[in-house]
Amino acid sequence: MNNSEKNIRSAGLFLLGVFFLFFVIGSYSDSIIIDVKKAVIPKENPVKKDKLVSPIKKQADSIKQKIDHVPKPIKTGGQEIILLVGDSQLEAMRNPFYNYVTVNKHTLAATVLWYGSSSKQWANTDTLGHYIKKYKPTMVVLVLGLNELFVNDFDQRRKNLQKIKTQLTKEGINHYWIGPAAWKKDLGITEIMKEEWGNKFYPSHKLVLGRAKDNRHPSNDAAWVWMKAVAKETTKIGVLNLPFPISKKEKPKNSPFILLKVPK
Amino acid sequence: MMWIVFLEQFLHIEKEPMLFHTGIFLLLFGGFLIAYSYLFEKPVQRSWLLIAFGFYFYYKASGLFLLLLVLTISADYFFAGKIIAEQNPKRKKWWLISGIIFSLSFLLYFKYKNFFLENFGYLTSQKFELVQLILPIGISFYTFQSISFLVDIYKSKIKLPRYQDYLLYMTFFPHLVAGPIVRAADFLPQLKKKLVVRKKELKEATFLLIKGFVKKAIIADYVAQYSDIVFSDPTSFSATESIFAILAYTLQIFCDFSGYTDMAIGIALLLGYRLCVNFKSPYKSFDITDFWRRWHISLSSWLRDYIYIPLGGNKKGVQKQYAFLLITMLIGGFWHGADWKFIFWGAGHGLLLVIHKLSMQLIPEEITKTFRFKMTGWLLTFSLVALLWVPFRANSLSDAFVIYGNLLDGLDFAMIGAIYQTHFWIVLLLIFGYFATVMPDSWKSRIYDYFAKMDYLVLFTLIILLIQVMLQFKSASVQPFIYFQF
Repeated sequence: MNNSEKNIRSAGLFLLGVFFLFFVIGSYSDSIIIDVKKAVIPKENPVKKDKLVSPIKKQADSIKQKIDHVPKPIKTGGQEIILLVGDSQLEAMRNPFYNYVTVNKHTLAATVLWYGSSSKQWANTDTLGHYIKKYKPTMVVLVLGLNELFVNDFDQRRKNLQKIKTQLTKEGINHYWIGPAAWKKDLGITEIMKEEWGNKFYPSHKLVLGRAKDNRHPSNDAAWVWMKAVAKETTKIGVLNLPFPISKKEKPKNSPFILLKVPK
Repeated sequence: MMWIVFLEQFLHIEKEPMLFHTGIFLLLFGGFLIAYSYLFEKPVQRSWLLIAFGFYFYYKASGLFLLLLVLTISADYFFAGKIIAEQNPKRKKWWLISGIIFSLSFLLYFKYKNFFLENFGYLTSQKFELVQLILPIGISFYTFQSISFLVDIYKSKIKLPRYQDYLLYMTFFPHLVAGPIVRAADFLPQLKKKLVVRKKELKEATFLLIKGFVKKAIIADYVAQYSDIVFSDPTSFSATESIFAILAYTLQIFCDFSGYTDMAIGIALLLGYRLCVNFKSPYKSFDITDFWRRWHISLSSWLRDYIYIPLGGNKKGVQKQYAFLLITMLIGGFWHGADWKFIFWGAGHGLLLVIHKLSMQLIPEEITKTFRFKMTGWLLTFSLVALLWVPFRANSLSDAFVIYGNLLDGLDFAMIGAIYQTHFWIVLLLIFGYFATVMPDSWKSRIYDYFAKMDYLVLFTLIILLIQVMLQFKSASVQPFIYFQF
């Protein structure tokens, strides 16, 4: 047998060995695969849903009657008492939001997470009014819109958006809408939100965010990046001053967290 | 029933060709090499074994289109015989044209029929019933090889080989489905030489296989996950994200295609053959002409020798030369796919080549040799090449313009941090990939020297490490090579 034959044969055996390695390593490495989404996500405990209460359902007419008075001037730029409301995106956003506002000497009065909610529920029930009355915030921040990405009844949705804004404006409450962190292109609702809320709307859909296991919601880790981008914007336009970055992450303390059931 | 599932892996599965970096290829090729070693000193039997493996390799990728490949090869051989035998120059030419038309007809039918019908329908306001055709894998590559073979026979650059040798040249599996486009004049003489596979070739082949594996299975496939997100829905992304996606795809296409070529050359070396070099660090080019001397060299030199020069090249005046350049690049673009986006890409490169040739006449030679000029040239060339990859990758030409529109929105530096935090591994691989791409040749030689002296135990550990890294970085499914579709 000459050298070439020997070399080719050893190359063949070598490749079979590599195949064997592939087989062996592949059989156990599934559990430690890291992919784009999971690569940087630290595991956190899921939110405990132990405080489920029913949303207060009354129609918009009753809200109108209650808040039908002269609008109060909105004060911005000072230390705010904030009511954070929204949909399931708050699961991930709640912690970063709390950290950013407290490090910047604002107060997070409460967080109201209404599962499956959209602008329709927040505009046409007195849930928002109820919590405003309860916590007396100087500012309301909404993290809303993920459940209405694919709606196309834009006229009705526009009315809902106007209704929420009018309610807050009349109360003299500073407000800001953190738009949906869409995982897929919407049918146009984010554009309507932007039109109605102007510079008080943050276009989260433009961000590249890591996703949770459902591939839809932003992951917990991505929410810190998201909040960082939001803080930069709210500080820049002066609607909510959050200039100081967080130095360490803390779990929300002394701030009620209210979870509402999915609307029927 | 497990064994039936196992055996099915060896049959043709649509859209699942046998890729060089998959387990099934390693298993089959490892076994094949052992059998090959026993026939290595028997040229006839060795050739038939290679042909048989080539047939199987093509069948695995493209199923019964194997028959089309055999038909093309046989027809080429028939036409080549006629060209050689014919004494009358006019008839000789006629046989050549007939051979080229026959060879091209399959490519035109499978690849371009729908495109022409669609556009003809658009122009004449008619609607044609389009039949979705499956493109035989590698048809663009082997058609170009068969054309160059016929032309070279016609020009007496090569003699008519034995049918078995031509069959081996065309079905030689390392280059069969995605190039490089090997010329008969380069390959056939190797069949007459005594083949050798020394330790030197073995080391070189192993190095090329590992290099190709890292490029394809680790870098290209992983960064593709980011570019895919942005290119699948470009309207949802900002300027910064679009730039990252363009950078990701620019690296991806180089690592994907050159990784495939590295593996193909390495595999051929293990068999005792040497394929031509297809890439010479193209992203280090100082100008666009230089880029085309370094990128997909087998295609660019084919276009030069079989289209640009026969058209007239630079022998018919400057204006015609520019026109010939544009035509050649348009054909080059169209060769990649039946879509306006590829035509746009080809036209873009043609235009850049013309602009470069024009500017070289205006700029004094001393200036072109300065460091500052070269660096500006490099930056400009890289940026323009990267921007022209946009239509190449985008789902359509209109999507490409959406990406270009995104770039006009302006950079948001905050996004860079956001991308870094959410896509840390992609950013890391981009930095590593580009660094490896533009590193000096002397460094690359030093890495190879170190590799050649590497102890087997270290090599073994390195391979385990690479397999582990690949398995950790892999996406849900094995990504086919980009050039398989062309």
